[in-house]
Amino acid sequence: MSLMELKNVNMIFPSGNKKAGVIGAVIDVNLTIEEGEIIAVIGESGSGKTTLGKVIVGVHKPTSGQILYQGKDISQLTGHDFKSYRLGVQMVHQDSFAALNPNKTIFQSLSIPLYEHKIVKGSKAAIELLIEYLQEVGLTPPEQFLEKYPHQLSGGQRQRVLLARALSMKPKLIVADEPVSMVDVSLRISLLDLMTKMNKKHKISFMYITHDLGTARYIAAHGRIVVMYLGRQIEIGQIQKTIEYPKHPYTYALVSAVPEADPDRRSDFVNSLPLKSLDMPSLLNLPKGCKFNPRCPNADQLCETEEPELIPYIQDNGVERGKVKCHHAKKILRTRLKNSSMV
Amino acid sequence: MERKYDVEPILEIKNLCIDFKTPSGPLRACDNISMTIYKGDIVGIIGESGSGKSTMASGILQTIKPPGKISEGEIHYHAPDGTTVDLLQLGPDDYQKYRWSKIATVFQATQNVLNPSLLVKEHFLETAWAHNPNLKENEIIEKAKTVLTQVRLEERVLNSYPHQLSGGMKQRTIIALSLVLEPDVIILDEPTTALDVITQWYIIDILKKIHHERGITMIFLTHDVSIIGSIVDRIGVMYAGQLVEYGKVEHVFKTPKHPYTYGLMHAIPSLKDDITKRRAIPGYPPNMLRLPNICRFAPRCQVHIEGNCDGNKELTDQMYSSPETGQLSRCYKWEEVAVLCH
Repeated sequence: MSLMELKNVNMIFPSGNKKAGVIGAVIDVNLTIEEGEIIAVIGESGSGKTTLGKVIVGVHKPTSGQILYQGKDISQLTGHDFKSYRLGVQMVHQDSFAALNPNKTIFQSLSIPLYEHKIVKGSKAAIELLIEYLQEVGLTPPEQFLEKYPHQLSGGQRQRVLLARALSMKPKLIVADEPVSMVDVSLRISLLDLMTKMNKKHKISFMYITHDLGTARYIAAHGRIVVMYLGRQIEIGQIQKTIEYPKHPYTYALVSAVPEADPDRRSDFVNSLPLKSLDMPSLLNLPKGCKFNPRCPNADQLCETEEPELIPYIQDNGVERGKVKCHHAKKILRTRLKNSSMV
Repeated sequence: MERKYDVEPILEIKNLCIDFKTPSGPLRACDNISMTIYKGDIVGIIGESGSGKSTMASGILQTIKPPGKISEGEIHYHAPDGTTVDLLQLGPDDYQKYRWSKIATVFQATQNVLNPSLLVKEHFLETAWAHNPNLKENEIIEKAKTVLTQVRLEERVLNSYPHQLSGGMKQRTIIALSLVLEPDVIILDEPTTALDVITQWYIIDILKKIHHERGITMIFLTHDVSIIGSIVDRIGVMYAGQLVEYGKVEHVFKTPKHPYTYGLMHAIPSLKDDITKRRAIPGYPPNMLRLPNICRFAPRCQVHIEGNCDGNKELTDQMYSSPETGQLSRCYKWEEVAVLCH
């Protein structure tokens, strides 16, 4: 049994203007998250990655589809089961300043959920427990941090406080939405390392939502990646393999666009992206057929009329390598590999 | 294209100090910064939030507002006609002749740079008239069309409001706006942060082409080392208000002479490196109001932590120059950085 299973989940929002129609933020997502797994969700802004995260933690109720937590449909959960889902799936946000009440000390902010869910009784026990968690996330000496207000901490420290808060609920899954994008570069790796440590020590699964392939590759080194485009999953696969051999043309464009720090590799930084257009279509006016076809250099008539399914990608040797939502994935990858071996 | 390196300086910053008055005492956001920027170069300044890079840019543009003030220093600007002027000696009216027409700036698009109630066209007109009231409207519009083409935007953008543009289009509009008076130097403050990779790639591509066509000097302020590697010629590294290293990109990247630079270069995950070799820099940047009485980086420095350096503060008051590569470093153990950092 998977920890979490999403079956044909759709999240449709009404747009401000009724005439304009509706916005499909998440369309037909099928995904399983296993216990102890780290899964990275990648996409441009507007690809629906944050909405997907919010659907999983239960902030948004999906328009249709089923979400199973430990085999049970979360919309049917009541009483004890519902509570165990609510506590078991936690979220860490991008903006650590907005996620903490500026008028409350760290102790006040972090002790409320402990009392609310009757994890501890009395402030003495709460202090003891929080000291333990703050130590675990590397905020030492913990006693000093408890009395501080959010503005007295740096961005990296606040992000650690948020992780401690999530951790104190003994979660099974943490949905981390761009947790390091607002943190200084020198501190990013240590936060990613901290999440990896929590994953190993407590077997907590992570869903790491980001637009930064570099950090995704770092944290989910042995995990899977989900690439999203206009609310749809377009590629799922083992992260290293996917970055090395992107199957969907969009994934290939994303990987090509990542700048290279090493000046010797500057020439690797492509002179033109494998894209016909750089602008994403509006969610209110989606193209027919494959949603990527107006930007795809490989698109043909089929792509303009028929939307491909997310299907397993079977290699010639019969081994399955993830899933891809592209009519011509195999042909495109083969041509690319042939061209690159000729160079 | 082969450019002439190291020949003509365009901006010489000397001992620039910028202080802010705070309730808990003065805060020196830029401490004794000296650097020479050469004509036609693309210089990247990297540093984390609070390292003073934006303050330095405001210092060059003289847009520091109270409680901040430039307490010391000189900024010599060498104009193309051969004259040299110390920008800090100019009064507000005299400086107006240089700002935007000689030295322009590009801010991050997510900051509210564009006025939401003005058309893009009006931004161009306002900007141009603010610096030269004698320009005719159609001249400015013609110029605006040219620069918009350079950033690959259509002319119709002129009749749009900022909210009708996407993040990437806004950023390109802001770049076009900085070019309209044909400056010699543009300072780009985090021009690609907060944009997704594809838009980011596009902005860098545009900037490279503009640099190639116009030979304009660019100063890139960012915390993203990977961007720097893909475009700049020289890197300046800032830490806690000080410039800690400055040199050509290939030297700074390959053989850093300051432990902080070394740490930064090893802290950023990319797509091709060996992830097991990535290391975080321990600790946090210092509180600028309570600076340690040792080298500012010492509490986080591997060399200091392992007992191979005592972090003598006085010795970090100057920059050391490496004779082979011309790199400048504030670390007095610079010769041993390669051995002591691992």
